[in-house]
Amino acid sequence: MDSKKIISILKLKQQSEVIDSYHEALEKINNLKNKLDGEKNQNVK
Amino acid sequence: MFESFPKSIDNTDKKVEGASENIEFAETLQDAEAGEMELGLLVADLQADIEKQVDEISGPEEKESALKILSEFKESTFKSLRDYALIAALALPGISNADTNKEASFIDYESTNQVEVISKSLEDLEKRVHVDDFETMHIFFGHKKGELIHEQGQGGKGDPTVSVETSTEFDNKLDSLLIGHNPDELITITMHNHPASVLLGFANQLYLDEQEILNSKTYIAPPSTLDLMAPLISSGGANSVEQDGYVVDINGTWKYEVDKSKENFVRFSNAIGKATELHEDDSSAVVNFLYEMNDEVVNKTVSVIADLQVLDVEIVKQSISGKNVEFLIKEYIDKAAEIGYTISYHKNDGTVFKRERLNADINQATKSFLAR
Repeated sequence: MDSKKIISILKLKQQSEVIDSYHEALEKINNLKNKLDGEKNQNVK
Repeated sequence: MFESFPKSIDNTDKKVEGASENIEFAETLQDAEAGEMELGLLVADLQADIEKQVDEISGPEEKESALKILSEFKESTFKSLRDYALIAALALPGISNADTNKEASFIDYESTNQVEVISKSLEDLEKRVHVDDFETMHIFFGHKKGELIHEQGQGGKGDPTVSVETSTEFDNKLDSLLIGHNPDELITITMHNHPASVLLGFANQLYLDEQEILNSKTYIAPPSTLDLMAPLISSGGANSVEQDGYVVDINGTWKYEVDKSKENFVRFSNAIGKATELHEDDSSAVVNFLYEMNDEVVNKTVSVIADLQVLDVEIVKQSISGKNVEFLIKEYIDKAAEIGYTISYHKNDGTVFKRERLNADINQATKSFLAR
């Protein structure tokens, strides 16, 4: 395998890393949203 | 995780081919840049989405938390991009071109704290080098011909903080190799794509190797060193070995006939000899060079382990899973074998020794990547 392929693999790996970071951030934000929604519902009740 | 690597791949009967390496470099660089752009666009896209999500958060505490999440995302993706840039640059063919007059460039890694000073001269290097000093990167920069090569020479082009002494005695025969140093402790090891400076580069490297061996650090040798030499042999350009008075015998080994009057070669020869003592019983020698040093003081043939390294293993380790690290390094070993280089892998205490070499082109590529 030559350097091109190594770089290609590297790119895929880094893309995967970025996407993982995205999902992780998204999950955390969704947790925050859920927490806020929960609090709103508590207040309505 | 590296135990499966071969200790030695012996392909010394193969000839080195270097004529097409510039093209290969350019094409690979193009791919690397395209990949970086693609990765950058992905990051931008995802970041925009995270920002949108953050905007939707209302509570003050939650908003703060969300902004922190965004910040972490940015940091993480920056690291992904940076690692891509670094590794891609380092994964470029370990060659260089025949443009030996190319200006040296200087990468400012200060912001990433990635680079540490080793030394500013061979002498200094000898005194100061400790494996523990090698935090992350060791970068070799191409230097303009005749800029420096002097035992007392200090600094290097691109480092305005130190003076540059030029020894005209060496200008016509040797290109530069010296280690630049600035107060911010950025490493600038200079090396020129010229057999003489490559040899001197080895002297530096061998000092490092000594420390490495003594400290039982892992040792990886890629084909880049020999790649570096190959174009010089094949191109026959202005800095060809013939014109500069070097005789090269490609027959699985490299033989250099070096000007006997060069004082620095005495020193260099001593360095080689010193390193040889360390390495001569190492059956798993990586790249075996045969130097014939015709010098008044030293006239002997030595077998040298050279280990100018392409991949910064630590960076790779941080970025890629263990399996893929093995894969990548294995590919380098295979690649080396294909073009006639013998590479072995040392792993004595589980610690991966990290070192890398960037020639001027790779340096430029890295700079280009990081500047974006």
